[in-house]
Amino acid sequence: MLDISRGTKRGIALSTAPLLAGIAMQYAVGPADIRATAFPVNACIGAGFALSLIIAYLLRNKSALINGLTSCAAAIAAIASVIIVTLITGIVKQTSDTSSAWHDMLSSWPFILSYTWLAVILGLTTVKNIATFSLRKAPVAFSHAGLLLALICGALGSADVCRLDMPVSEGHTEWQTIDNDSRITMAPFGITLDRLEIKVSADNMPEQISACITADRKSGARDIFSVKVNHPIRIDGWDVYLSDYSEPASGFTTATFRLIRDPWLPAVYAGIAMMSIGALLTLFLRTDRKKPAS
Amino acid sequence: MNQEVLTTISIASLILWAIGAGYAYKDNRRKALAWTAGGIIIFGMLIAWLWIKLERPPISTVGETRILYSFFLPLAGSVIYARLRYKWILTFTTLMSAIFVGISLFNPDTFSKGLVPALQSPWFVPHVTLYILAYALLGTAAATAIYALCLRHSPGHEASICDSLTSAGTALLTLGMLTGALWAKESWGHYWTWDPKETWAAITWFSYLSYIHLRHGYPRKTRIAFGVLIFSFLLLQMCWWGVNILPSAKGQSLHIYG
Repeated sequence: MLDISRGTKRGIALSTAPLLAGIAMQYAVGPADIRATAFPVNACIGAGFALSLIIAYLLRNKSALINGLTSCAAAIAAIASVIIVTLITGIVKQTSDTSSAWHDMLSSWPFILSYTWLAVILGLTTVKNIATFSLRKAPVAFSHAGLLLALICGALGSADVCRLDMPVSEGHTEWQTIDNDSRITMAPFGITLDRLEIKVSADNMPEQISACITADRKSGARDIFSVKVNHPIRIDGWDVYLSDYSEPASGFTTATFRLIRDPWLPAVYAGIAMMSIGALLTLFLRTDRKKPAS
Repeated sequence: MNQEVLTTISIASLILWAIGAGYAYKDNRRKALAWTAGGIIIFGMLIAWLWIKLERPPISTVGETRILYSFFLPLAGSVIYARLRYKWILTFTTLMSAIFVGISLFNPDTFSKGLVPALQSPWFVPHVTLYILAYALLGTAAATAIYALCLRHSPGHEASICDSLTSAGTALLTLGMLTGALWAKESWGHYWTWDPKETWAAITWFSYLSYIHLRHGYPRKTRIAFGVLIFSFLLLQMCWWGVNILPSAKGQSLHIYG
């Protein structure tokens, strides 16, 4: 078996605790509601988490447990816990219209607590990487910090993501949208579908789909845009996507636009950029060279 | 016509790679690399021919990605052989290429010219290419791990080779995953939706991270590490094509490769 110290044994034991605690919480309180962490709750959680990591790191010499949590054993156990819950998510069909935790893993406490625990261990390791930064450790430091930022901001920010669907018929102007809960709400701006163009290839497959629209802002301004698949546009802080269309035999051609606003996106992109730097440094920076003996 | 060209060039390349592998066992490094390079060039010309004929990069279906994989595998093997002179590596990469080429020949692709609008993006080529290159390195690592576990009583340099291949492969896997996230944001509106393909990509990625941490923390536990590497490669297969036949993923994934 693996030879591990007492401190890291504690780390391993605590890393399996999220799965067990998650199962207990699932039975006790049912599925988690991500909407409960909407702003400013998520910002407070994020700030509190960052502060706790720094304080924990500063107290590391007074606690074998905290030292154990930055060990490889603790990391491996946390990753294993995350693999288990993600495997269930991958094997069992997932749907949000269910009361079964197996079929809605993203709202289940074992899933949430396993990833939270991974974030704790990742966070402590990241603080350690920053405190002891060197060029040789740069690939690892960037990778850890990037993953932490993307994971935390992506998870906490998911409660603030607004998604609105707007079906618009050709030649008509629409001001209403359908939100995530299938409720009809007022759109941040009106969209007129001037023209839907579908370019078809020789074998009758759609090759390119684009919608020419006019956006009516609440300020009174009117602007013309072209929205294509894979080429969203930005209007008043909202990303507008051409997500669907229909061409009935009779009746109007309709295009469905998806409006998305994600205020945490810049932070997630910063995390992605740091992970990319870490990966590129891993590929191109040789960190295994030993210094020649003098 | 497409299938005849694919069959002819594939068999020709495999023959050249097999000859190269044979010379590697005879310790004739120059001829081993020359014959292997010849096979790689011919197979590369097949990919270029497909690209011109289809008027798009031939990487949009599972069948097409198998062809690209069969190209990168001997390339990865050649680099390992050139640097470390492991006689068996070219045999392994040739055998793996033969398996994937064989699957492609027995499951003919339609090679349709059309590229659906969702795939018409500047992220398409880097995302898929990074992933297939990563798969080739990680496949070579898995082959090395199998060799070490089955044929070596005391693994020597194999662990070091696996570490280098897995480190580079995981870095490429990371870049592939991140380019996919950026593309998903542009195409579907969100960078991560726990689509079955994304879920299995995350499982595979975490599994390779567990290998890296295991090697870092317990460098002497090589046999356990080799086992994790082989298991991770099985997860990789699940992510690549297994998710397309997984009952729970049917109708739920936007990653429709065909």
